[in-house]
Amino acid sequence: MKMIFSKVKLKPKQISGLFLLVLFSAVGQMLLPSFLAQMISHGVAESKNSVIWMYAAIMAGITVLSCIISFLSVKIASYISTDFAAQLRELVFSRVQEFSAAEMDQFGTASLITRSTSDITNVQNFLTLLLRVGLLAPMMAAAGLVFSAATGGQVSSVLLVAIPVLLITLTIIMIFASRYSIRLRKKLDQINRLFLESLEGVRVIRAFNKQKAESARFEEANGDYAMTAMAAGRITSLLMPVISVIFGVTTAAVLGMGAYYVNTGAMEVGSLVANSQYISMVLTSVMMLSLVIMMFPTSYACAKRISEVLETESSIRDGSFPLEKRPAHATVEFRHVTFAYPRAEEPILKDVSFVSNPGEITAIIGGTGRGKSSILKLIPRLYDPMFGEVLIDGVNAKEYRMEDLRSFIGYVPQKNVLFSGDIAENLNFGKENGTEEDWKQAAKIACADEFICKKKQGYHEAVAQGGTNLSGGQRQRMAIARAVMKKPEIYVFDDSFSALDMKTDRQLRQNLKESIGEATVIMVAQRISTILDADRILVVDDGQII
Amino acid sequence: MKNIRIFKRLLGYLKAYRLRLVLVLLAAVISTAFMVLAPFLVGKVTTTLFAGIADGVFYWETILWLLAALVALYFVSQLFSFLQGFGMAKITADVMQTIRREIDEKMHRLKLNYYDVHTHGDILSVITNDVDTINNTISQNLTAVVTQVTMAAGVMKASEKYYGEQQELLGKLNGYVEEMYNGQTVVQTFHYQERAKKEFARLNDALKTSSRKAETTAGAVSPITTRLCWNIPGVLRSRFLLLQEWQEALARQRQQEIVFSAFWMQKRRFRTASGV
Repeated sequence: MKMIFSKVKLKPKQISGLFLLVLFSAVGQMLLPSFLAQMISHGVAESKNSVIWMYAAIMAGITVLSCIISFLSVKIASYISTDFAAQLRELVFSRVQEFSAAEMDQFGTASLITRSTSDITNVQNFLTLLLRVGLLAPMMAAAGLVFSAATGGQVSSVLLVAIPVLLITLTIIMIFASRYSIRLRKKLDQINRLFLESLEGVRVIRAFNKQKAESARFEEANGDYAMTAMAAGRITSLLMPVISVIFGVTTAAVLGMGAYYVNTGAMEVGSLVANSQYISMVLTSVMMLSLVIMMFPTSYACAKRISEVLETESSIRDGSFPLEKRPAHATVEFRHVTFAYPRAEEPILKDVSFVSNPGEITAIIGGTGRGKSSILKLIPRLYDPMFGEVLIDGVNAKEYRMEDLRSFIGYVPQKNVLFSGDIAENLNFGKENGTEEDWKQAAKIACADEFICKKKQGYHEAVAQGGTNLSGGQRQRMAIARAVMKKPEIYVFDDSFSALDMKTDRQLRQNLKESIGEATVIMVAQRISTILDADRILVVDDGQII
Repeated sequence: MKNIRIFKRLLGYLKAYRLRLVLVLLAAVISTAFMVLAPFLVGKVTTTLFAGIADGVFYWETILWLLAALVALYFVSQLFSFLQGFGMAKITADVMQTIRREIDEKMHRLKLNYYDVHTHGDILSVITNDVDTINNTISQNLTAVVTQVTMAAGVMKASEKYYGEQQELLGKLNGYVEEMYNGQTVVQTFHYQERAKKEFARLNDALKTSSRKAETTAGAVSPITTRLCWNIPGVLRSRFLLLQEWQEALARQRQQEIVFSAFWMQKRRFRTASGV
């Protein structure tokens, strides 16, 4: 919580303004019953019509005024809470953008998504509640007690019984309800998981005609959720009636006690009516406040999860080596590199050394899980090695600014992530504001032009999230074209030709060879034909080059 | 017009529970009727007190009877209120189950290119946030809905626009976050972070402005009405907007399917005839 408030700037003017407005509105609401009491004592009891009308006018005036005040306070409160949420979202998103692969692994993508979206919404809702109810309720309760004491406080002793009874009942119902709500949350997660699964696999499910089976699976979770939701709904539907009964009995008790005091002459009928209103206001405030308090643990947990993201620093730090001063170009050298993934017991790379010079192709082969991709991930500094150095153009990769380093590396990951949008937007990842000329050139080299030209919209054909509306081979060619857009000095291909047919594979390699000039290429490959024309072949087994 | 159609759709879901709904509504009416009597009884107490002062005799018996009646009134009224909530819980859960099932089934029937232009986050928010809010709306106190709807109609119209907008923007923002996080490796190696932050800031700002407007317009009336304004316009609009979109896409698809299946039958006939 502290962490969040130290980063998010709330405007003190807005807060104090809100505080004042809320104070006014509490006093305004409390004045109403006392004017009512005056009206009854001086107007009704003495049957003076003019007095009744005067008090009625005053009360109407106060009501209008407090409406305006409450409108203003709602406006300010919504300014504060929406601003708070927007700032927080931006902070979290920016922080995650800086995370290295290690931090992404540590939190997990799904958890980070929740932290940046629904957790923030939850905290925002709580803040809104706090600003609207949390401020008003204590003031109302205090003002109510003061006014009640001032106008025949004897009856307010009813509160000594009413408040504990109310709190105990609320707690009991809430404990039951929250038990259900936890179960409900879990079942909802289950539904979401199944739904997301179907969503991601929609094409596969269609292809295997498994819609019925998937729907049956979903329906089971769905029915389960409905049962729990019904039980939870029934428990919560107890809440309002029970509260109302407590209020009703309290009112009756106040009136009964008040009648006694009126009889003994200790109290006027007007103050009795006013008092019964004060007391129900105090009771309402206590109830509202306890509801806010009951919501606090959930919101606090969300806030804590958000703070965890904000407190985490990227494990990879920027260097400052100026690009112009690089002693070499298009060279990658590994010197005795040993690397382990965070929290892994065994290093995945052990003492790896090699050099790839300008114009050369270095191919890496080996069995699955032997560390081929890990070698490639160290080049754009997705991770840092434990021991040894990765030299890019003769300088340790850690010395560069990340932005500079990555500006001349064209990385084609094993998992070809494309983004929703269109083909052009995806290619422009490699070059901001790339032109049609650039797209065509890159697509030609990557052998992607023929399938793009066949699309109805050409370069503006829609791409689904993850590129799922393209075939595996098309995705690979898109990812290669995206890297080519950069015109990099160092190409890093992580098994990027695997989904291509032999002919396209050959053609693509031919195109690359002709266009890359002095660049160096480091590639992981499975097919022998792919690596035949490499200048250097590294065989990796068990994290070592053999 | 669209709103009315969507509202009708929601009513359509409730149709199967007609008898139950009538009972629930009856319980609501009884509960409200008894509640309305309460201030009347309180007034009677004060009148009796005044009468006592005027006459110089204290009517203890009448007052005690009145107070006992008041307590009884609260109990009866709240008993029916609970019965109403109890019955409503079943209806709500069932309707929600039906809506979820329909969404799931639709997802399996929908033309694939729908998925090309919507992110997972966007679609997913239909089944989580949106269905959830319909849930809240239906399970709201029915009497409150009936009495407040007319009162809030004016405000609703205004806040509805912003509220729908707000839900849409929230879906977009969540979709964007999901996508960028999933593609972190590419985002980083292509140094897309700054561009991503810029786009995110744009979406974030739009969301802030729209939710501010939604909250202010909706908050202009009493708290109960506020809740309603937040929920009902949602039902009328954004919550069902995507459903609607699916529905329309589905209708178009059905036409194509007919053409398609005709084509298939032709082809099969041809195959059987030629003995392939």
